[in-house]
Formats: sequence, structure tokens, C-alpha cells
Amino acid sequence: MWSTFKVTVRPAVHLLCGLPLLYWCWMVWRTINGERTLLSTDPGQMLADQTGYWAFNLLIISLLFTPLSKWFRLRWVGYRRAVGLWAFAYAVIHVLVFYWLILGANLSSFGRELVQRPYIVLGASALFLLLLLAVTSNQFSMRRLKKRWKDLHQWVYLAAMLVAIHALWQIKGDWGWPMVQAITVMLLLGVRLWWVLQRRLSAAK
Amino acid sequence: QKVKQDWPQTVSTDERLTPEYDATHYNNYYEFGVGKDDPVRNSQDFRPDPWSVTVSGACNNPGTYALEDLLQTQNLEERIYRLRCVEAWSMVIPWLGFSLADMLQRFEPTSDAKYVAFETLMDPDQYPNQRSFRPAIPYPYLEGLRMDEAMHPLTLMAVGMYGEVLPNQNGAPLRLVVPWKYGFKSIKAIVRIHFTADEPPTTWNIAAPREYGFYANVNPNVNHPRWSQATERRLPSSFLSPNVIDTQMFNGYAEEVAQLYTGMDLRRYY
Repeated sequence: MWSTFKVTVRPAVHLLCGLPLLYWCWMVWRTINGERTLLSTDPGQMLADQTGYWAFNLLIISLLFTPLSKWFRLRWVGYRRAVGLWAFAYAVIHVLVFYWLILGANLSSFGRELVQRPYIVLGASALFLLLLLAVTSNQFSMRRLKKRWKDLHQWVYLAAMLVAIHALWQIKGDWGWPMVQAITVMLLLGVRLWWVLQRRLSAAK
Repeated sequence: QKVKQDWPQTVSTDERLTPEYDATHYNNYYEFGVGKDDPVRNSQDFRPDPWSVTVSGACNNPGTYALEDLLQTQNLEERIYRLRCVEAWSMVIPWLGFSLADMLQRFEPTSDAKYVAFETLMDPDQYPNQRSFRPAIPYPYLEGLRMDEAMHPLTLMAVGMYGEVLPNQNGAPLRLVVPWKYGFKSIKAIVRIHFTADEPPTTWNIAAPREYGFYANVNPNVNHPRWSQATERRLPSSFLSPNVIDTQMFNGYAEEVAQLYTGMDLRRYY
């Protein structure tokens, strides 16, 4: 029964993760076809915000799998990779939107932003980490890297923290969702640290 | 409503006008909310009439003036100005209004008046963000100009745009337009004008002093600490042409206003 459940859930997970992207593609399509006001006067800003927002949301959801499985004895860790890869995909689209619509596809200003803007440096570092995790997310890498695979994938916490600062750093007057996201990341990190501490303590006994 | 009147067009540009829809549906007016579409949504019940402006400080004619009295003696002009937001987007807007200098002269500022301060209405009943438990910025919104900036012929007191009365979300009934400065200097819904000897406090400078100075002149060479000011997105931007253009010194008004700042270190007085 579990396997039939898995068969139906996997596409559902992909569909759910892809839903925001589908929605925004639909909005872009309608905008190109004349409904000019759908994405506001500044579509670049809106799409950059939205893709970044969803990349971060999915990254947080991927971090939720382990604690939720532990607390509620659920066996859904198998979907974590799918969600993580979707987070990476949104992050890549986020950068493409930034390059194309905010910087006007200007390579030299892209290079300048990359070294001059501290929050963009943070975002780029996080994306690099996510890239490493994405390319080593397959079974083959898991087998090859053995124990080191887990160590490598612990970097996701650093990536999440970098993304949190990246998001908070851009706030102008509106302390809203980025704050909620950052606090969630801190809580999830705190849970992990608590586990590590507990393990150390019980080992010392 | 349409203003049934012809007015001379005193400043113009050959750049394409921003469509009226965009200029009235994409606004920064934090009193109505921090989203760009909050002002148009939350300002429909705003009451710009009746309106009065209190004039105080170093001048011979202080007092409270009804808006109609202030407007009666002024001749409306249409001026098409570039508007450059500090967030690195820009528009081209046809304003209706009159020289701020003409209005200020009526109050006869004295020689002690080195600066003029402006204040936006404080009314939590009408402004959702002012009654928020966590306002985005301190209220009331404060702005100010040095006296020579205020008296400069380009400095406009606007009461309309696109040939119509100023929409609520754009600062009705009376707003400042200082085209060579970042948009946040152009304070909306003005209720107070105060002449003073000292540089007045200004809202964004109070909120983030490292990022927003008193002068806030458009300057492609002095970046915002968090983003570049070298280019801007001329709105509306689209997918095929993001419309990223180079930002000009003093927003393209250097010829007219650069002399106001000779000898000043614009990196220090940002």
C-alpha cells in the first residue's frame, strides 16, 4: 500500500512545487499577450521578488522534512530531494530574472553587482552551495560520497542562513515575510543544534 | 475631474510620457501601505477637500491658509519632469502646478529662513499605515529643502497631473516635485510649511541615516549602500525591453541646478 501511495504522491509533490512557477508563467504569458497591468508597472521587480520568495519557501520546507518525520513518525523524507531541487530551480530563475529584467542583460553590471553588493554576494554564495547540493543529490553521488555525503549536505543550513540575510538585507520599510522566513530558519537550526547537544550529552554519560 | 483650463507648458522633454495608468497605480506612499499598489487601493476614501496648510517660523505672514486661497493667485503651468526614485526606477510625468518660489514669497520669509520644512498630514483614520501596530517609517512624514533649492525655478508645487486634479495616491491635494532629487524628497499631502534657520529633520534620514541624506540629489556616481544608482529602469518596463537606462547627474537637470552645490562634496552630502 505504501508503494502505491508513493506513486501518487510523487507527482503531487512536483506539481505543488511547480505551481507558483506555473502561475507566474501564466501571468507572463497573459502580460505578453496584452494584459499589461497584471505584473505591475515593474514586472522585473515583481518576478525577482516572487521567484526569490518561492526559492526560500521551498528551501525552508525541505528543512522541515526531518523534524516533522521525527516528531510525527512520517516516512516522507523521500520527497525532500524533490523539494530541494525545486528550491534550486527557483533560485536559478531568480538570478536569470535579475540579470535579464533588473540589469537589462548587461554582463558588466552583473559582474559589478556580484562583487560590490554584499547581499548579492551572499545570495550568489548560497546559490553556489545549492548548486553543489543539487549536483550531488543523486543516488550515484550518495553511494560515491558515503559518509561525506551527509557532511556535504549539512551545508544546506549555511545556505539557508545566507539566503535569510540576503532577503533581510533588501528590506526597505516592509519587515514582513522575510522576517518570518528568517525566524523559521533560526528555529529549524535551533532544533538541529538541540539534537546534536542531546546526542553529545547522552554519549558522555 | 478635468481641469477646464488651458495652461502654458513651461518645461518639456522629448522622452515618452509614462502612461497615466502606470503613474497612478505604481506608487510609494507608505501612509497607505508599503506595497506599490497599496496607495491606489487604500486612498479612494481619502479626503483632500477641505484642506488647509499651516505656515510658521521665520516669515512675516504665518497662519493657516485654506487651499483655495493658496491656489487662487497662482497660475497653473504644465511641466513634464523625469521622476527618479531612489529605488532605481523612473517615470516621466506631466505635472500641473506652480513654482514653489511664487507660493513661498507670499509668506515673506525673513533672512533667518535658511531652510523650509514640509510635513504630510497625520491622520491614522485615513492612513492605514499610520494606525498599524508596526508603522513602516516614523510619522508624520517630514521633508525639507535649503532655501535656495526651494526658490529654484524648477521646484514645483503640484496640484495635478496628466491635465487632471492630483489623484489621492499621488499626493492630493498638494505635493512637492523636486525633479533633480530622488522621489522621496517630493513630499505628498502637505499640511505644514515651516521656515527655519537649521536643517530640518527628514523622515528617511531619520529612518536610515546611512542610506538617505538630507540632499538626496540624483547622482549616478554615489551609490545607495545597498544598490547601484548608475542605471534606472524607466517604467513601465517589459519582458522584451527591460528599459534599463543610464541615470543622469541631477536627473538630467545639472545645467539648471549644479551651481547650487558648487564646492560641496556630494559624497558626503548625499
